[in-house]
Amino acid sequence: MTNKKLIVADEQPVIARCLKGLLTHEGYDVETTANADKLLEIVRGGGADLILIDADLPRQNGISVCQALKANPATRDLPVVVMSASARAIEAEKAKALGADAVLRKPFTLDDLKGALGKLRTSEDRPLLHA
Amino acid sequence: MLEKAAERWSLRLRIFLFFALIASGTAAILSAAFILLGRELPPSAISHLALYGGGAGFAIIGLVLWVWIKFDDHIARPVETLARDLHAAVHAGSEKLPDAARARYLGQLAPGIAEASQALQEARERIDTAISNATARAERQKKRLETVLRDLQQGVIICRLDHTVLLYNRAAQHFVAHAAAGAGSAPGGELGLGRKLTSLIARQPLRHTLDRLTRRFEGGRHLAHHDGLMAPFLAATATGHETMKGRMSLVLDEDDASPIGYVVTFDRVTEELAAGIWRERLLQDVAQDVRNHITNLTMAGELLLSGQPLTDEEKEHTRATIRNEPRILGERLDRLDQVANDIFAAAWPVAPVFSPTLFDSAATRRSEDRALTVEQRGTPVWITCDSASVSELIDRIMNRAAVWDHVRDFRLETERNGERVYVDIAWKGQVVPESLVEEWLREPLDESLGAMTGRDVLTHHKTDLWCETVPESDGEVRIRLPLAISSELEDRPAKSSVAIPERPEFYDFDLFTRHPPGALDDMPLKALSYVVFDTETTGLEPSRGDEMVSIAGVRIVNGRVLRGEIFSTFINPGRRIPAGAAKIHGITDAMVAEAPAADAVLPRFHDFVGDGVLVAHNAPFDMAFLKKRQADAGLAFDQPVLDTVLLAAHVFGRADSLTLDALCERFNIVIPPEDRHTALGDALATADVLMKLFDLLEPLGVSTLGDAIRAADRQAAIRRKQSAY
Repeated sequence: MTNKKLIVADEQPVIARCLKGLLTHEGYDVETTANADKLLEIVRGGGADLILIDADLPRQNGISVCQALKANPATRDLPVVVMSASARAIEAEKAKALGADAVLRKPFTLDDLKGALGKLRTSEDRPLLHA
Repeated sequence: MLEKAAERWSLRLRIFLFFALIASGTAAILSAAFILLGRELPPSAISHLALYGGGAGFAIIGLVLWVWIKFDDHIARPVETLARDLHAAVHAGSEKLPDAARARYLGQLAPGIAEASQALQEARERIDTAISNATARAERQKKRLETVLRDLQQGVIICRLDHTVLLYNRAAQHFVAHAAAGAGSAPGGELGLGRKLTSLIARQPLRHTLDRLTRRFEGGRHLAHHDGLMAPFLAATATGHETMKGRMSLVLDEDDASPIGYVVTFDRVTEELAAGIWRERLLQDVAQDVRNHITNLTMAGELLLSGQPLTDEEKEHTRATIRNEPRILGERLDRLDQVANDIFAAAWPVAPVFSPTLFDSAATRRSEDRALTVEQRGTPVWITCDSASVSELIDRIMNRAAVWDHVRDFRLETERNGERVYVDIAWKGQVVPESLVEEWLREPLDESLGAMTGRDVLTHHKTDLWCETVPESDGEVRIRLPLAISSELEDRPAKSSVAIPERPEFYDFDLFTRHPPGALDDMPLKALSYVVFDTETTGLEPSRGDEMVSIAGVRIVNGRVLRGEIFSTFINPGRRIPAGAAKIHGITDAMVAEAPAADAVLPRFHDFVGDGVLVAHNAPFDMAFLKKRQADAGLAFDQPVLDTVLLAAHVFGRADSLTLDALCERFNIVIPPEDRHTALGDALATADVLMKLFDLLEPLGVSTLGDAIRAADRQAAIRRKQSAY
């Protein structure tokens, strides 16, 4: 069984690098990017099973990318987890209204992340994470 | 001595004595004449002489008595009645004309007096017209001032230097009522003309600020001082439940020579202040706490970096620190974020707005002249927001969506969700991409709002908006804007049952010149404060279980009936109201079912009366009910009491009818039929009667409270004697 491909999109290199290390350890093929354009490019190339995206990406924000992915029938079923540094509950509500499958508020621990990913299901209806 | 005493006797008594003198004089002269004659006559004629003499004497006395009765009936009584009518016409403006039939033996006197009364009335009317014309302009200006004061959001109170209230507005009244409600049953007092402000607001800050201003004025420093004769102050209500941020300004006399009072304007800041104190504490705590947690993390990092071998326990401890501390720091940051938002939002004026008002405002804005149709739906709710900028934002979104999606028809809708309400802008079309919504939000809004963008408006309201499809709809989408519901207005209590008249008297500048009260007995009647009250009851016998079902009072201060300062409430009598009583006052069991009991009402009424004089029409009746219940309420109604029945008896004599209706008719006081036999209606009418009686009592030498009480006592003694026969 091949590993799931997970894309981490975050402008903060430390977070991106650490997430890559941790999630690789959990059995994912992890690719990181710092902008939405690169992310969409990877998705269009069919190289993603799951997306972990920061809400505050430069130029096009994470929630907007999420909405665009969910509006496209080809990518509608691709699970998207939005990471938010905002303290406002309203941002989580907005992200969910625009299609996010889960919202993680920063700071979060590996357990929080694993918990969120554990609840997601792929288009083939299989748990993404076998914790 | 005798002459002086005779002056005090009534006309009828003096005439009676006059006739009595004639009768007794005649009898004495006849007796003397017959005694002298008897000496000259033979003894046989003496018995005849005594018989005729006695007969003549009785005949003369009978004649005198008959003439006196006729004279009393035809002359003395009508003269007294005419005098009273004339007195009432002159002093109380009564239009009652002399009874021509009763005064028919007085020749032209009655018609003459009628003409004089009429002429006086006409002259009075002409003077009244002249005065009312002359004061009309002042009255208009006064009304304007009243309107401004009434509608001011700030509380305004004007006081004399001894803190006696001369003016207050509605905001101040609400502030005090709110404080009293917060204080529960604690004695908070009532705001009213002639009352002391220091009974409502903590004495010390008021005195301190007044002292500061007075010293500034006396030292002439106010001329150079940037605040002039004004100083800000912070004070709590006497009950300590509310805090007010006020400004005190000194009021000077006409020559600007010395201070005569002060004006206090204030806002209620309890919540604002409490929030400020809370924020300050929170910031301090969080900052300190964050330092501690960062130190924990630093130490754990240092330990790992040191390269020294760690025991298992140390490893576990370091791991736990690295896992837990960031979470705690995250929580602290959330709190800080909340504080920052609160501070930001506090500087922004938000107020409750009713959703239909907000929607109307957005729908009718038509800032870009597009013919948009806007339908409104959803349950109306009170929303806390700045309606100007939010309606501008809604209008902007509709205009942008109209162009982008080629639509004209929108729907504005509310949907409640807990403490929030979603304001939805819906239309049939496609979802607006988030990136485009962001673009719209970056545009500046109306020029009148400065350079503010839609995003700024959202940040100020601690919210966001987004576009989504409407579930289970036929291709509808909506822009969803969550806003806060105004819980304060949602929970707003029902309006007070006491109706405040259209133009309540909220001020009395004449109190500026009133002298401080000396001994109550020697106080001029018009300088005192009164509470004229009335009760409605289950029956006439408090000693046999009858109880009050309603009590109402109105204050009189400085010779004015203050229709804005009234007390009126139903009382639950704790027993059934007999049908006969309900027929008179119209108060039924159902009406008093939810009303407070007497022991809850009387302390409030006692506070309302304060150190005023109690007045009632047939006061012993109403006082009996108060006294019956005062012990239960832990009170004593030991204020001086005046009875308008006894005062009227002193003025009009006991022959005339002294019912409230009769006195009102005599004084042209109109009680609306629906108010007659209501406690408030009767109390107001009695207050008007009292004012008229004061005018009539003064010429009779009754000018102080002591005089009035003595006059009433005399009338009461006479009544007691009469009832003994």
